[in-house]
Amino acid sequence: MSFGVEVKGVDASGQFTIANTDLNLSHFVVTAIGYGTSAPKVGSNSKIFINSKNLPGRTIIVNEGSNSYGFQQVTVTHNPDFSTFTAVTITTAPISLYYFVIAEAKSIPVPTGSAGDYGLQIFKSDGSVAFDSRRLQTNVSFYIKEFYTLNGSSGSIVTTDLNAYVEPVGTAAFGESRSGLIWNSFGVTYVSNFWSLNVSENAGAGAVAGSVGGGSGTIPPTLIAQTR
Amino acid sequence: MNNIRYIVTIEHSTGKILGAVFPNISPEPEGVDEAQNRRILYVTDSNLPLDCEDIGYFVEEHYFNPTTLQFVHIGKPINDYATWNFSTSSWDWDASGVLDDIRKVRQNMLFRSDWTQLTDNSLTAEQRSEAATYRTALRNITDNLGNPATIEDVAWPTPPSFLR
Repeated sequence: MSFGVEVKGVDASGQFTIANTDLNLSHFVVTAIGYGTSAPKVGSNSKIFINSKNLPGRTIIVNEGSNSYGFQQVTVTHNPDFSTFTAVTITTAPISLYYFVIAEAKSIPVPTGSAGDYGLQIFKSDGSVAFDSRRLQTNVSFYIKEFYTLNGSSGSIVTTDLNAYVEPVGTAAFGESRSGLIWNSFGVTYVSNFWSLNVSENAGAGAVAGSVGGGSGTIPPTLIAQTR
Repeated sequence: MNNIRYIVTIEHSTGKILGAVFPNISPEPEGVDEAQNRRILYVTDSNLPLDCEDIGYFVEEHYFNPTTLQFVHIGKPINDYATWNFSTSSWDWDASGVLDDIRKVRQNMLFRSDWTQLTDNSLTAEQRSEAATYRTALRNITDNLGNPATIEDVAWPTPPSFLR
């Protein structure tokens, strides 16, 4: 290794290399971790993972804005005087969740002013920066502990680990199709796709017979992560 | 200086904790914003209440007393619309929010029993009448309701056995 930092360790098996930094720091780092009704976004290509273990039984959606994520619980209500299949409305209200946000390290801006005066930089042979500690936002890291593969049916159990954080895939802004997550005492369950604020029952999609379910939308593969 | 444990956002007028994050590289500065809407506060070992290692528990069950400037354990809110009143040491809540929730539950119960009023089902006339009585009770559920704190506080009518 000609450039960068190499760290060696020793254990009963002998000497081993821990890490080197001769590549750009392009992996994902945790940019925010907390609890509340919204989460900040820093950098690009960010992803959020959520957990709602302390408020079980709620249907949750995540709305992604340009600078933040907003968390909402969804209530599905049937219109008592319905005469067509457009008989369902959805109302939402803010809900607090555990969350953590990750983003590509190389996309995180280096702090300006005095906050940017401290840190550690490691350069590559061409003079570009391989590592800049100022892009690290927290002292928390994460790992992917499970991977939920495509099932295609609503009500599928995503994970039985109540402490895991789940990637809320398939969620979108109001007025678009979106899916929700329900935390119960057994784990995390997907519900069907919702279609805008006035749900149209469409070949089983949307809310059916007083309960949320029967979605025709497919559930994308989902990451399940944990912090450390 | 104590290590920062959480960076907390507090609703300035009520002391309600709106959210908390673990320390990051560029935390918002402490203080109350210009509009007097929210306060940013750094929580360290010296002002962190006992047993608050879980950030969710800390946010959900504590308030910031604007007079004593201390965090106080209140417990879980009595409903989604509740705010702790430090003057009366009790919860205040938006009754219309709870009433909306009750109506939503009622509408779903009515929806689930709609089929009983169709003529081409297998119910007897007596059962259909029993279901109609149940549905009337549901429709009247908001009469003389008082000020329930939760859906569970409502005296819901017992559905007929064929609806359970």
